[in-house]
This record gives sequence, structure tokens and C-alpha cells, in this order.
Amino acid sequence: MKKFFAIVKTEFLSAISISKSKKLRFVSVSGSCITIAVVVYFLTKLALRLYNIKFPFPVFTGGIEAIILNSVVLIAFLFIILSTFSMILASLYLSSNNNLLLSMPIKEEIVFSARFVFMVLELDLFILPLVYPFFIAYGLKFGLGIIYYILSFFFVAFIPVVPFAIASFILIPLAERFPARKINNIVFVLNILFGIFGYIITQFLNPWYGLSKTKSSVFINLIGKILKYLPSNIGYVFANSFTKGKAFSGFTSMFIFVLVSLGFFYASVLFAKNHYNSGIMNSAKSEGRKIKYREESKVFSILPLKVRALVIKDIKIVLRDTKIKTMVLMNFAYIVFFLFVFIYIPLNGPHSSHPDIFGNLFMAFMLYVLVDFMICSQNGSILFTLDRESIWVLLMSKVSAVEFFWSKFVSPFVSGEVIGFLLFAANLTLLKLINKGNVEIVFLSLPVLIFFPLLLTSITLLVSALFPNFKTPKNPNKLVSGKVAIINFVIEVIAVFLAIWFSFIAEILYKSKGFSFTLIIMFAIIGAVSIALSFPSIAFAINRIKNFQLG
Amino acid sequence: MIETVGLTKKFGNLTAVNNLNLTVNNGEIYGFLGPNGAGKTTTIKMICGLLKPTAGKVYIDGIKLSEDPIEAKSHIGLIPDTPNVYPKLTGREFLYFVADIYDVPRSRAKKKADEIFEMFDLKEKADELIETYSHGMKQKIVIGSALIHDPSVIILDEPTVGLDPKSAKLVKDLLRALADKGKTVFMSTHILEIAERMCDRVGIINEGMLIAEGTIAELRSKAKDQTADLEKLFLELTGGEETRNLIKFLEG
Repeated sequence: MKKFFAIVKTEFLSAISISKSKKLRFVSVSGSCITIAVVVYFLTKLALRLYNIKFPFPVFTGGIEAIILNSVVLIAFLFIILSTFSMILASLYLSSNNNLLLSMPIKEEIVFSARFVFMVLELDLFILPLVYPFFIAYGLKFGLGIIYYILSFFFVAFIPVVPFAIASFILIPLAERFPARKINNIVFVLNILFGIFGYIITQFLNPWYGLSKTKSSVFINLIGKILKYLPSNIGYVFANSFTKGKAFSGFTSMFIFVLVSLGFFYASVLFAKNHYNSGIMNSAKSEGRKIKYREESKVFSILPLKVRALVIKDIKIVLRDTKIKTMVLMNFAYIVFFLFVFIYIPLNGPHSSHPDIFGNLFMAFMLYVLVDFMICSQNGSILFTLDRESIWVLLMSKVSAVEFFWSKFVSPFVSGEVIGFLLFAANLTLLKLINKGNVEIVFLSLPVLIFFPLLLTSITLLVSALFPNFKTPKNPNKLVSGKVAIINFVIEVIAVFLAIWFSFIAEILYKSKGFSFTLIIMFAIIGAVSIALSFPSIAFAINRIKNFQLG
Repeated sequence: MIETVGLTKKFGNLTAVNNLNLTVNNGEIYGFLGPNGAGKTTTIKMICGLLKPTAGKVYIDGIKLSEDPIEAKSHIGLIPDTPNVYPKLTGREFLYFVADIYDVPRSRAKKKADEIFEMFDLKEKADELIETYSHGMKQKIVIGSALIHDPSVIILDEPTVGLDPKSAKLVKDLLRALADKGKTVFMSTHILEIAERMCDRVGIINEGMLIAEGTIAELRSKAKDQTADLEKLFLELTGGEETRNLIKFLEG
């Protein structure tokens, strides 16, 4: 057991790269806890709102709660299966860590079980904050006792185990036949399709799209019936048993679920032990695949030569690095969720998420800010880490600090603007289609959409330039990614506060001066604030890059 | 040509390099020797502009590094001790990338890259990701990248580490040929045999200070031992403390 825990601990420390400094560790952990608490709070509110939807037609027995809980667990299952593919590929087949561990005098079962336990815990970090709020909201709606909340926490914590095992049963034999890198590329495409599928499903479940009562009734009930026969129904069965006052039955279903999960987990460990070697041999045989060189697309020709070379280099690295690609994909995946919430913000009357103008404006502004944050700040800070030990190539070259900065600026900024405009166009189109919305609110959020990618990208790159992740003379032995994560979190909080203040101003102007005047003033204010903060940040970051030194 | 004037680097209370005055001429191979921690890599980093000196100046082909770092750096090709290059690029992509950031036209970069792959026997691996290369192959690709923009000053930190004997010989011949073409070659090495055979002049640094400089013959005459090899001279000049301790340890 000692070896088992040693492996789990090492995996944990290397994954989160928590600082050795106690102070920094405290800030890092508390920052993550606050983020999770905020996500749980908002998702619980959203789930309660969804559970309380008043349908204008009878819903099948079990009600909307059954559909929602079932859908959430189903989406979690699919998400876990796809993530598990990427995780197992990255840590077992595309890295040498596992072979190093297997060459040590440790039983293979211990190596695989420790690594799998860690992967399940990693999945829990995503699943618990996103799924548990739906169980909390269920408990709140039906006034359930403390036992329910404790048991449902453990229930959700065990959700990743079975899909994880199923994914390993699929992937490990596949790796025996096909090169790990090829499977990885297919998984990447599947992830994108899953994102699109998730978005479409959530939109179908969104009951405000002007579907006729009969059609909606048939559709919703059909979904309910299908979901009832899927394994994901276990979530609803578990929660529902508490509402009927049968805590014992809830406890029993939980107990069976945990036992089944452990059985699946053990089977996956044995399966990996017996099939891993032939998979890794196959992977080694297929190493050294050729990548035919292609001249870069003409799209990039608008960029100066050196900036273009740097941007293309970064894009290639992101697309070829499984871990980074997954992180970027996760950031984009959040946008699916934002889209779902965003769609009904500008709606009028009882369908609106908030009854007042301020609420609608705030939600609209905040969601754009969060979308920009995920794309510009999160992805921007990833870009800055790509050079790591190879940074000497750039620092030795003819690349100036200005060129280096703009090469990191281009991708997050352009993606932020493009995704923002797609969101804007999608919202306008949908509002036009359903003809129930307040188009003016969508237009009022336009200045945020235009200026925040500039603001967030500039500040993120300043932070990255202040705390580069390569060794510097002042910081020769440690990387400081933890510090960057904390500062990025602070930036996120500040950006949300800015959204609140802009909403206040917009509400006052909108009520007193009307739409056109408010739009002009909001453009002026948000533009001025963004430019006033961005330009000095850019200048400061460039100056900092100019003084980069290697330790 | 490389010139350092009063080059000094301090890390807190530690003086890593102390008042270093060096001149390496065009067409010359200069061996920079010293025990571990003597200040060799710190000196190289300062000459290449990767580390700012606490005091002193560096000139590359007469260009003051602190005044025009981009122009000065464009004259240098660096081969560091560890070949850390982008693992997710192929060898060909990496060479083209380096060519782009040094403003080398693509047609010339292609020709040069093909020559480098041919010379280092890397043709088969050119379109594979660098992460699949062995240490020696990575070292070869770094050497290639340092030469792709045809620099006039080539700086090498332990250039033959990780190379097989055939490749090491190739690198030695290549450096000689470059020096004969009038390029300045500055290299640090632990392998005294290489320094003795290849270098026109050597400099020995210890505890951050240049304690001896000249041709091997000049160093011998300074040591008043015409038969001494460079290893003996080096140990004499740098104290040879570790060797003496080792002999003492072995003798019990």
C-alpha cells in the first residue's frame, strides 16, 4: 500500500505543480476552492431554476427532474469516456513514465491501480463541481435531509469509475491494433463532435424554442422514456428513493453502485495488466511516423514573417501535444455551457432568466466576459508555456521582444473575437427565429465582445511575461505556473466586477436615455477602460520580455 | 570576432565570472576550459545575450551586444550543452522555423536543411517529430540549426557530448572547416584531448577568473614543462584537488 500511495502522491504533485512555499500553496488551494464554490453555487441556482420549469403540457411520470438528472449523468458518462481515452493514451502510451514505473520492483497491479485511481480523482475534480449541484438542487427542491447530501456526494464521486473502466476496455485492445497517436487524433475529433452534440442536445431540452405544445410534449416525453432505460438513470433512481422516504433503499442502491464500480475498476486494472505490454509494443513499432511538410496556409501571410513562424510553431505544438490540446479543448467546452445559459438571457417576460433589465444585462455581460476569459486568458497563458526549455532558441535569435509578444497575442485575441462574433450572430439569429427576445440587450453586450479579448489577452500576457515558466537568474530552480493560475483567477474576478459595473451604468442609461444613446456610451466607456488598461499592459509586457534572462 | 571587456557576473554574494577579458579572432578555434562550476556556461550565456552581465561589455564582430542585441545575436550560432528543442516539431520544421526567425529565405533554408540532413545522416528522420530522436540526433539538429543562417561566430557548450565517435569526428572536422573559412569558433569542453587537438588557443577559467590563456605551447612554457599534456597543465593550474582526493581515497 505504501508504494500505491507513493505513486498516487507523485502523480498528484506533478499534475498540479503546487509550489513548495507554504504561503503560495495556501493561496493556490484557497483560490481553487473559491472557484469551485462559485461554480457550485451558480450551477445549483441554475439547476433549481430548471427543476422549477412550469411546462404548459403534462410531462411523463418522474417529471422534469428525471430528465435533467438523467441527462446530466449521461453527459457526464460520455464526457468521462472521452476524457479517459485521452488520459490513458497520454499517461500510458504517449509518455515514458509508465515504463519507468513498470521497470521498478513494484507489482503491475499496484502501478495500474495507483495510476487509474489518480485518473479517476482527476475526473472527479471536473465531475463533482459540475454534477453535484444538480443533486444539491434536487435535495433543496424536495427538502431532503443531510444523509442525502452526504451520500449523493459519494455517489457523484463514484460516477467516473464505471465509464472509466468501460473506456479502458475499449481503448486498451484498440491500442494493440492501432498506433496510439492515431487513436489520439480520432479521440480529438470525437471530443469536438461530443461538444457539438452536447450543444444540440441542450438546445433541444431548452423548452423555449417555440415548439408547439403537442410537439414539445411528444418530444420531451420521448426523451424521458429513452433516458429511463439508460444506465445513467441510476442517478435519478438513487435521488428519487430519498423523496419517497425510503432512505434505506437509497442507501442500498448507493451500496450496489459502489460495489459494481469497484468491480469494474478491478477488472480494468487486470485488463490493463494483461494487455498493456502488447499495446506499448505496437505503439513503439509505430513510433517515428512521418509528417509531410506543407507550406503554411495563405491565411497567415498577413502576419510578418517572424511572427507568422512563431504563431505556426505554437499552433503545431498545441495540435500535437495531447495534454495541451485537451486543456484547450476543455476551455472551449465551457463555452457550450455558456451558450446554453446565454440563449435565454435576452428573452422577454416569464421565460427570461432574470425579470429585470439589470439582471439580463449583467448575465449577458458576464457570460461574454467568461467566454473571453476561457479563450483569451486560459488559452493565452497556455501559449506562453509552450517554449519552456526551448526558449533559448528565441532569445538567441533575431526575434525582437515586440515580435515575440505579438506572436503570443494573435491566436487568443483572434479566437476571442471570432468566437464572440459567432456567439453574437447565433444569438441574433435565434432571437429572430423565436421572435420573443430583446435584441437590444444582445446589441448592448457588443462592446464587451469587441473590447474584452484585447483587455484579457493583454493582461494575461503581461502576467505570463512577469512570471515566465523557464528558469531565470532570480528564480533558478522553480517554475511558477501556480502563481500564474492564481493571478489569472484574480483577473477573472476583476473582469466579473467590471461586468457588474458596466451593467449598472447600462441599466441606468437604458432606462433614462434609451437604446441608441446607451449603446454609444457603452462603446465609449468599455472601449476607454479596455484601451487604458491594455496598452500599458502591452508596453510593460514587451519591456519585460526585452529583459528576459536565462538562469 | 568575440571580445569581452571586464565581463563580470554576480549572483548575490557569489561572483560567477570576474573581470573576464577575452578576444577570439576570426578564423580561430578557441577552447574555453575549466572545472565544473568555474563559470564557463555563465560566460557563454553572457556572450550570447541570454544573461545580462553585472559589469563589463561584450562585442560580437565589433557590435556592442548591450546596444544592439538583435544585430549582434544575428551573427551568432549557439550550440548549448543540452539540446532542448521543440519536441513536437519535426527536424525539418524546426530548421525551417529557425531559418524564418533569422530571415533566411525559404529557398535557401530548404537547400541548407537538405545539406544538414545529408551531412548528419538524418535524411530518414527529417520528417519525424524531434521527440522520437535520440540525444545524439537532437544534438545534430541543434548544430544544424546553429549553422542554417550562416553565422560568423559559432559558440559551442560541450559540443560533442552525446555524439557517437563518427559524428563527433564530423563535428570536429566541420568546426575546423568553418574556422578555415574565417569564422570564429568559441567552445567550452571538458574533453581536454579535443581541446588539445583542435583549438588554436585555449583559455582556462577557475572560480570565475581567467587563470591562463594561450596556445598549448605557450601554456607549456609558462608551466616550464615542455612535455606536459593539456590534462597535466589543466590540473596543475586548477589545483587538481579532486584528483588528489581520489588518489588518497583509493590508497585508503
